[in-house]
Amino acid sequence: MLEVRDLNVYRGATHVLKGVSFDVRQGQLAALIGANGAGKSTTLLTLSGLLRPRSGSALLHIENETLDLTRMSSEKIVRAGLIHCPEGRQIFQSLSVAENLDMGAYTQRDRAEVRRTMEEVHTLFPILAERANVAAGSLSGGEQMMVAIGRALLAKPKMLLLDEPSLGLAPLVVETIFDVIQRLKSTGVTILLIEQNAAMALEIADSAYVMENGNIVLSGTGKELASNDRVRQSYLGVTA
Amino acid sequence: MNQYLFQQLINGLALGSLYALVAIGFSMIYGIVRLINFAHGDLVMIGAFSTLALVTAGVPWPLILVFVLAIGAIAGMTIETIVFRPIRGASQVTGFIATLAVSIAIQNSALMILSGQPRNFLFPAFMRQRVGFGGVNASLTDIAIIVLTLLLIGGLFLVVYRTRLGTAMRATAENLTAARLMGVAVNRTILAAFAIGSALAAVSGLFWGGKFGQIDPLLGFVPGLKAFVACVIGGVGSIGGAMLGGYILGLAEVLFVGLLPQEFSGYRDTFVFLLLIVILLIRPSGLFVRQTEERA
Repeated sequence: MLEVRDLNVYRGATHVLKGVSFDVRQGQLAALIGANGAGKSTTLLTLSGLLRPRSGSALLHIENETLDLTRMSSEKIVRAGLIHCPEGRQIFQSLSVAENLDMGAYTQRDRAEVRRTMEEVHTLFPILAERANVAAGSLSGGEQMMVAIGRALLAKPKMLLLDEPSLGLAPLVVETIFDVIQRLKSTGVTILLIEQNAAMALEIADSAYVMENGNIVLSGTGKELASNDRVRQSYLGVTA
Repeated sequence: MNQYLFQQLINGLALGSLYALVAIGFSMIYGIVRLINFAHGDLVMIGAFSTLALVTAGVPWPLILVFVLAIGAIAGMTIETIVFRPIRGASQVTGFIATLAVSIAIQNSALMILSGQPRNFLFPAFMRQRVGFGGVNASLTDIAIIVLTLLLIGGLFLVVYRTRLGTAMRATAENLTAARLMGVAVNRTILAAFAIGSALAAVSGLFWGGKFGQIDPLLGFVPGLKAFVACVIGGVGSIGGAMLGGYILGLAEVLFVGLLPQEFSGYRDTFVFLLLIVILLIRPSGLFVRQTEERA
């Protein structure tokens, strides 16, 4: 579904992505793991059109179309069904929970469909229905994450980019979020997940990539990488 | 109520309406692109002279109001498209200097085309009448300004808090990157903020001419500066704060003139800026904004 080829991205004078290539197959969950500053978030920002690569391509195959994300505006990318749930949640603090969810559905024209999705999101996260008229900034971190994911769902993603959904959350909330991610996957949404929590990510990933210094240095299925010595030492905290 | 006090109150509210209309646009534009727009006051002048031209052409008043709103919106969108959009992402100082440049360009073009000679604003004679309510009376112009301003602000609040465009504008103002990730065409949303804010400034030019009777190409300077003060009082970036800041400023000016001895009334602006300094000392982020970090 997604074919990334030889992406080179600079931020200012810094060469952040140095020829990154990887694939995500339709309906799969791919995990991208790596240390801080390895270029994971930069990869996602490039895919959603917020950063432009110096060279390389990112082809998205949707239905019978092939789109090069590196040549599209962020607005068109969202309309095509590639939705990015950014690091640090980035919800609209001063807007109400309901307005945040409405912003998620900003590109959706079919009001009946939006209402249906809204009900699904409320079923998934009942607290969002209870707190609909409260300013989103006053919610707890976990609830804000639910707003961020709910907002992404209202955009009707065909492919979802998730950047550190578990960051700074209590273990119980992390489990809820991971449940939702798996449930989403089972409905056919393709997912690219960035996680600090590599153990959890590899456990649910169909395929996984390890990123170091702007390069993909290892790839394999989630299971393969989870049992790889190098990964175990560097990212899973297992001593040899 | 005492006629003198009532007169001062109406006068202050009318003046405050003018400031509020300009301040709201100033605040909307700052809120969404973080630009202190010193050219904003010149839209008041553009609105005033457009009104004069339309009156001379014999256009009926209700239509003039609509045309002036449209002219203001078009002028604001033009400035945003040709000047501010190309420098988006540059440092705030660049933006600030660009707004000064636009202001100087507008003022001097107007001086060349219209000459610096003040002109009489052609306002219908019946608007100069005074209407009485139970022992007190006020000028019809002031009442019309107050009522129309309330209607315009009411309409604005409906747009900003009850429509998809308004939600997108507030979302973009708070977090531009996240708004782009929602599929908001950010440039179009910014354009809408310029259009609405500039339309309100232009219509306040119509009111300005009606209230003071004379207009000249440099008249935008004072309302621009006062709008800035009103925004700072109310909290820059907040629409409700800018509106209340405008009313407070208008009422305060009139009260200073009304309550201070005659020989001080020429210095009313001094007192206005003193008020600004006192408010900033007590509440640095404005009266109506929760005390938080400076919005970068």
